[in-house]
Amino acid sequence: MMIGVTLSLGAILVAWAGQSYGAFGGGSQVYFQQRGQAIQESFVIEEVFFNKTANQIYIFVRNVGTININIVAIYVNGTSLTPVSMTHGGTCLFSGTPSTCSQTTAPTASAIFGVGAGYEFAVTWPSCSYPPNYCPWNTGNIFYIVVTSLRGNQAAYTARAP
Amino acid sequence: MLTILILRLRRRRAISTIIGGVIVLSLLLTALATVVFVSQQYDQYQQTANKMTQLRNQQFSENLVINSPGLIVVNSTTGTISGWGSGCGVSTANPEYNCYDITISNLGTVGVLVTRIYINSTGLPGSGCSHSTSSTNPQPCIINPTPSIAPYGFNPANEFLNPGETNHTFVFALPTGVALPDPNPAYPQNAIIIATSRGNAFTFQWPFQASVFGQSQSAFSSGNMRVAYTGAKDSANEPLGGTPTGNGFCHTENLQSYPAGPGYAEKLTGLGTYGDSGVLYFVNPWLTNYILESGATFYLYVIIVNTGLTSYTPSAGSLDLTWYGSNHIDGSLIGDYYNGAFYAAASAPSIPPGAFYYAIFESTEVTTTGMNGITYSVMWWGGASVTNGSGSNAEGNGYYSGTILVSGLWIRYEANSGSCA
Repeated sequence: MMIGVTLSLGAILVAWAGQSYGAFGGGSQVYFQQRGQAIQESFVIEEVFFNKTANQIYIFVRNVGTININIVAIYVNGTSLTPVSMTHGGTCLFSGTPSTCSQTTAPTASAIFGVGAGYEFAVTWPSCSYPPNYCPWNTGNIFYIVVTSLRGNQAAYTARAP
Repeated sequence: MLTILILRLRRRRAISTIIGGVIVLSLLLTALATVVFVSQQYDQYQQTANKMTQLRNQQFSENLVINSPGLIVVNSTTGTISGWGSGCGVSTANPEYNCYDITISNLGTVGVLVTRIYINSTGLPGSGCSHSTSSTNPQPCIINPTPSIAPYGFNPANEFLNPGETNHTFVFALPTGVALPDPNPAYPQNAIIIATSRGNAFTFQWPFQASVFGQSQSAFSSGNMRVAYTGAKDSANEPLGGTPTGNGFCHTENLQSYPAGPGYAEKLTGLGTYGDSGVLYFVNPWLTNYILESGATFYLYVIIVNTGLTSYTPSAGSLDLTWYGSNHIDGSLIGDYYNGAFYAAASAPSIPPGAFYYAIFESTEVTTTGMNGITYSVMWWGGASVTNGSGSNAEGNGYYSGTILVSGLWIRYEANSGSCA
């Protein structure tokens, strides 16, 4: 009987240990995979251009990492702005031609950016009342622009409005 | 009986020991397998991290510099760029593109792939690569590699620079409606941003301003060289004329009186018999402009800072500008502009330590129009009363001298076109 008890306890212990070690190993695998992908991701803001007439800021982003990236958010002075147009090599990633490129979907849905490719985002700086002298921008205003990816990486750019 | 019982008990303990050993061994093997698995994952991650670190190091190793004269208009007689296409060149009958050669050097230790060029111009809306209100040019010039010649494209055959490669030239094309440097505003500036595949952006200003850097034992000169003209050039009106006269000096800079800010023409007054009723308008010689004209009286000033410990009097000096070939011009110090007043060389003021003045040189022996690349210049300034702290002359015969390096000064020599370069 004692042998049976010992065998049962042993089986339970081995099963528990296997499950625990398996969970630990699986978690580690996910962690290292995610971390590995995150550090392979690299993108930069090459240029920022202000079009005061259109009240738009053009942000040129290039994927210089080794894997595709997914841009999920663009912040301008802490305000999340959805691009009104997004082009790559003259091709509108939203609907329409580049000249009439307009937003129909959020960029998060299918905005997978290939390795080495450069993309142009146009965001409209809102004609808001806060802070008053920033809407639209005045010459000399400082803009802190952050582009964020799905994996949590950021590219930042500080620019002074012309 | 007792012996048999003992043997049975020993046999049962052996079985328990075996079972316990198997359990412990299973646990150990499971743990070992997990450790091996996690180690493999970590190893893969570390390999990725090392690879990215290597890429970062390569990114930091990139170093591009633009070479004088920066951009050159492609003045092709055929308009054909080998392997890229035709339509380039200002001399062709029907040019389709304004093409420019840009010359850069890779001073880094890794090869560099140029992926894009941005050009921002300071100019009126719609001019050059300016931030235009025009719908046809709503943003800076964005120049991408194109397999065949096209507006806003550059030749991909030239996009890679080897480590240490110097004077690498590649050509890019703009529409005929976009010309660099744009003559508006007065002093054209174009910020050229060269983006690389590793995410670096190297920014240059073009055209260059001619700058001087020189140092002697007790004095240092620096700053943008400014020049003025009389004679064939109208010193009073030329900088502000807006319309090139004579041989196409397009010095249409905005004017400020002494002390003028960077990029402005500078008006110096009270110069006695020099200039137009004692007034000279000094302009910034851009590298694409002529700075010499035959027969014109040529004035040049450089800013001299007394970096020594004692005052000195710059009562004399000379200038020797030497440029490519055997051409050179000589000039002499006519005086010093100090604290907003002009002092003839014979009555030069004492310059205290830390103070600066303009050393103004004059040359009347200019016999060449244009400028074909000043390679260096030599000038000296000083006076017989120069002493150092021990009471003796600080340098030689009391003259401070130095070789004034004209930084990157390479003036493109052009035919007399009568238009802005």
